[in-house]
Amino acid sequence: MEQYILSLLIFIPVFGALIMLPISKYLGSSTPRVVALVATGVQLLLSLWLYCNFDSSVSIPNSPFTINVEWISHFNIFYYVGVDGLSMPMVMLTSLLSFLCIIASWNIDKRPLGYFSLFLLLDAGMMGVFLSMDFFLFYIFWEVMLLPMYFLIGMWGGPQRHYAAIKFFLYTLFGSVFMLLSMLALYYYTTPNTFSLTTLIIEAPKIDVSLWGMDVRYLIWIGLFIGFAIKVPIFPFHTWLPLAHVEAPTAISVILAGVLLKMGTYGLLRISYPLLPFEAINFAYTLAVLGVINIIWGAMNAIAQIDMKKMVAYSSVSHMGYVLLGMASIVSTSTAGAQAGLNGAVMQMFNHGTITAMLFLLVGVLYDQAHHRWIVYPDNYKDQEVAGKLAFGGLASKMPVFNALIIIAFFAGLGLPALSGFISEALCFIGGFSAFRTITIIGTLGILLNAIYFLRAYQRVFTGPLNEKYKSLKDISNRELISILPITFFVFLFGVYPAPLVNMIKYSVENLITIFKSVM
Amino acid sequence: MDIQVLSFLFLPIFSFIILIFGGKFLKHKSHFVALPLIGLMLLNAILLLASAINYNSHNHFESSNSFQWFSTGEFSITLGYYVDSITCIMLVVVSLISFLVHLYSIEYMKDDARYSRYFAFLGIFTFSMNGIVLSDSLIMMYVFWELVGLSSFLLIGFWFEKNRPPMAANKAFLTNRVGDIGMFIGIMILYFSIGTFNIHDLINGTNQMSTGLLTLAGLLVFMGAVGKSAQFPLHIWLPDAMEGPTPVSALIHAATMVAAGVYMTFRIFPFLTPDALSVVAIIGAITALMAAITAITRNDIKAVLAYSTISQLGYMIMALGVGAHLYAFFHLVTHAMFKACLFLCSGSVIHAMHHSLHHLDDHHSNPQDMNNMGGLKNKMPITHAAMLISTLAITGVPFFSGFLSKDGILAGVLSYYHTFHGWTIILPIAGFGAAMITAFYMFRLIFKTFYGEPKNKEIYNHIHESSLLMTIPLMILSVLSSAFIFTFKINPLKSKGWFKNLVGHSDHNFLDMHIVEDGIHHAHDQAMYLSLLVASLGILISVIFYLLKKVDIDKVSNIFNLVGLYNLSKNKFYIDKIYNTVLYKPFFSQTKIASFIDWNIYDQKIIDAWGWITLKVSYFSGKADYSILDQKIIDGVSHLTNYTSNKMKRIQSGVIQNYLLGGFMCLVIIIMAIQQFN
Repeated sequence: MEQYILSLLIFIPVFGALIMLPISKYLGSSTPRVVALVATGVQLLLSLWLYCNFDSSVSIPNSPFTINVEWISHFNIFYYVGVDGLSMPMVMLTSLLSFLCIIASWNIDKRPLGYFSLFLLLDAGMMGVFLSMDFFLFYIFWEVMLLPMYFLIGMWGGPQRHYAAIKFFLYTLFGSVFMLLSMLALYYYTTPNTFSLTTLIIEAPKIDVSLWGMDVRYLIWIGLFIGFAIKVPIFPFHTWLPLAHVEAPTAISVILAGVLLKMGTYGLLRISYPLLPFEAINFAYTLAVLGVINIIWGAMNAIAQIDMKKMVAYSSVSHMGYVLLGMASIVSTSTAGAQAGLNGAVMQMFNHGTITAMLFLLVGVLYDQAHHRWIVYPDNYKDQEVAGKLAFGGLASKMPVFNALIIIAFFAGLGLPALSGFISEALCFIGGFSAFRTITIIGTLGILLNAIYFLRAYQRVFTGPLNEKYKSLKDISNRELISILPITFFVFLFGVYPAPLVNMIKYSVENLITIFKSVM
Repeated sequence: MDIQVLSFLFLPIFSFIILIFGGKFLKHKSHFVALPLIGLMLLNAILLLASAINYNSHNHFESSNSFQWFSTGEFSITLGYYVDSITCIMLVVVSLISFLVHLYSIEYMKDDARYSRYFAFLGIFTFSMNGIVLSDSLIMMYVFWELVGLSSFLLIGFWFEKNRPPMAANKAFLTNRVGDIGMFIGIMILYFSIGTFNIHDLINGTNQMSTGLLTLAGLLVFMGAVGKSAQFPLHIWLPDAMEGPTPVSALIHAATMVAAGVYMTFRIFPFLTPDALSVVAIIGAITALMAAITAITRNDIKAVLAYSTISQLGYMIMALGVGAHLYAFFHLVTHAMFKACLFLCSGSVIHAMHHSLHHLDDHHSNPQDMNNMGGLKNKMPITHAAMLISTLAITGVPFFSGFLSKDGILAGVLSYYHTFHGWTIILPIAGFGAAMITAFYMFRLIFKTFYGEPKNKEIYNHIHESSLLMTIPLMILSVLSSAFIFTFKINPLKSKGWFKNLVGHSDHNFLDMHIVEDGIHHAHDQAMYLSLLVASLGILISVIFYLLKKVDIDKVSNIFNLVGLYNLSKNKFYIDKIYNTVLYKPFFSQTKIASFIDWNIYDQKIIDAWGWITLKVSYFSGKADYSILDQKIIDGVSHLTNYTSNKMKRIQSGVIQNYLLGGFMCLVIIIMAIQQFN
């Protein structure tokens, strides 16, 4: 079991997608969603089993779960997968959100076969990215995931879906080119030529060549950074995000914000940081500045949004800024600070995944009933009578359970203690503060700015006199509740008792810090 | 001990959990869950206080325990409690007022559709407030600090079907967050300078920091108190918070939560540098005076009390600043009792007004407007008596609790002036000035509400005294507003007694507290006579203005308005307007500009320009590829071939003579060429 579990995690969704294609012709139209539910359900159970049997203090080469077999021996490419404290939270997040997203998209009736099979391929791609320990394999999965995403946005999305899909695809592909070049450079400049990340940790810092008068390691760093920065997205590469999130169907927005964005920061932590620690140290200040720009700029933009989904999308830009700030704190002279920042960053990756999933799912629930999600109608709205006016109002009295959930989600988003967002944001700030005082102090403005848009949206949509147009709205349905409650549980759990999450992460983070301490 | 202390957290949170999930079934029986749990907590608090009093006669009462919340290796956060006599008193105050407010709300909220939700929110508030009181570290205090903000948000916005309460809730939460940012930065500075979040370790470790940095850190942490205790310039949220139900205002926005800032400053007091303390004192003085002036012109009964609360909190903060921190804490406790009483009395009046208006089917008159009241003394004797007692307490009349604590504060302020002279004169001016104004506006409130002729006969006729559930808390609180309760001594002018013994003495890292206390002791008599003088002056003016009506109020306000003072008070010093024009509006237009830049310019013009350029380039390369390379060059070759072959085919005429002639000429040319080469 131990040796196969990682492969099973990756390939069970693929298997589901493959058998779905022939059998659904005979078994009726609901076959795809049932198969998808089973596949992601098994995947979720496996990842829970993995969590229970996983020892976070064992590094990947020594872990019993690691598989390292030759794949394309001529080019020294291995099928090398492993799991450690960095990837474990992401594996949990991916399997949890995939399963819940299948439930959330149960009512998709436009070409369900295509939707669910593509969704499973996407799931496999994400899982592969988080488990690969061979750069080539990592790259393959990275690209594999792109294509289903393109179709999922482009076919099942909102009115501007084609534009959004092509923008997302080209933007990411643009980044992938740089990542590919960096990967090949790493391969060619090391002896022996290898894609293995564990070998590259030792070999990559030894690269001592220059190209066009520049240090090759620095060029590699820049290439990787562009590739990952677009995914995060780091300012100024962030504008694909609001569009894609808004146009994608609810479940896909959840996956986009909940999992895909983390691939960027995960890539930085898994590849850029350990392979090129010296460049990372030189770049840390810039990374912290970019993180704070993300926090402030994302929040400022979120405040200005009148579309609830776009607001949540920009909140992701802001929240990913905390991750960057926490990551940059690795250069801190205080070990406690660096640990706080790095642990905070990885925790924030997980916590933002759950919180943003909640937010998107809830906005989706409202959208399904009301068929729009304006906070305020835009000035150029087609119905000129309501243009510029409040779109909802007073929903709290019609939808009490929904209201309670949205309060939890909004307050988790604005970093209320006892909900998971607080502790990771606080740790990112504490870490950031130990390394970059002024920048972090500017960044703490995010504490206020993030509260502004959530509370304003809450006040405008859910409180005040009930808008007569929506007096027939129903409260959240049981199916929707099932898709949201497990995430709510994690938002509470890691807010009240973050120790399990920290214990999962801290040894891997410590290894990373050790690498950095040795070059500083 | 652990169980006893932790029950202060568990009992109220149980109440919250049971009522949130079981509210559907409990409905209007919800208080049967909440009241016993809070009652048990009150009993527990009294037991704890009793043991502290017994203990204190031998030694300093202290107990603490903590556990690790999580650890990343070098960095860890521990949660723990620290209980000393101060904590015990605070726990009694919170539990008692929470219990009385629960009791009172049974009647006050009985017609509300979300009855169980209301009690649930009271539960989570009590939980978070106890958390602040028990915290042994700043980071844990910050956690509960924010949770108190949440409960305040929920309770202010409780009547969310109306427009104003949700806005007031947002304003309260966001204004508090401004202070919280400072507090958080301050905590981080302290952590990285001293290496701990624990308050006692911080106090012992401040010699590791430079004084300048410590001043900064202390003031930043104090910013949290400026927000939570509604100090200038962040006081703007508290008057708006009156949109919440009145019992909530009594519990949260008068007695306990707003006192959390004072409590926190009291806890960090030992490491606040003298520079920081002078800033604290000035902020307190400004707040005390400004809020008092604003209160004069309020006509909404709750608004008067709201500004009075801000003003009294200003007193406490000022007392902390001048080193009279024990009196600040004393005033916190006495104020909690009489201000809770005042608010609950006003609630009783509003409740009666509301019912009367409801009876008359009048939806326009404001039940909180004092201009609709008058003469209620005869109709509501118990409420009147309780309100009068608590007004005497807040005014600082001997025999009432406020006298003792306010006196100590004023003595502290005076002694501070005696020590430093110069600019510090503004502190006693603010202190005594605010004392006089307080006496004036509080009696204005009493006279306008309970005395004189009823302004509206019809409303007056339908006013009834509230039921026992509401008046019992009033009676209890008015008893607790007497000086005797806090001293158990006959002499009404001396504050010596069990309370002061229990609070005891504490040290300061930079000041010699013995000297400070001696100074306060010496200034005491002078302060007492002065404060009695200003209080009676304030009451006298109020009597002339509002009871005897010997003076035309409009004329007086016109005279004051010659220097703009009346308008200043009426418009709350224009602070909301200033914030609106200087902060809010520019900020929100900034965000719109940011969004425009981000999307309409950056994305649509610059990022999409890449796509456009690519499209153009590919269009031209496509054109070049097809129209030029393919159509002109590649096809050109074939066209040329075609053309040549077209021309050439004429030669193939089929006439044999031409072929022979051609062959012959070729032969001649070849022969000539060979000859040439040879």
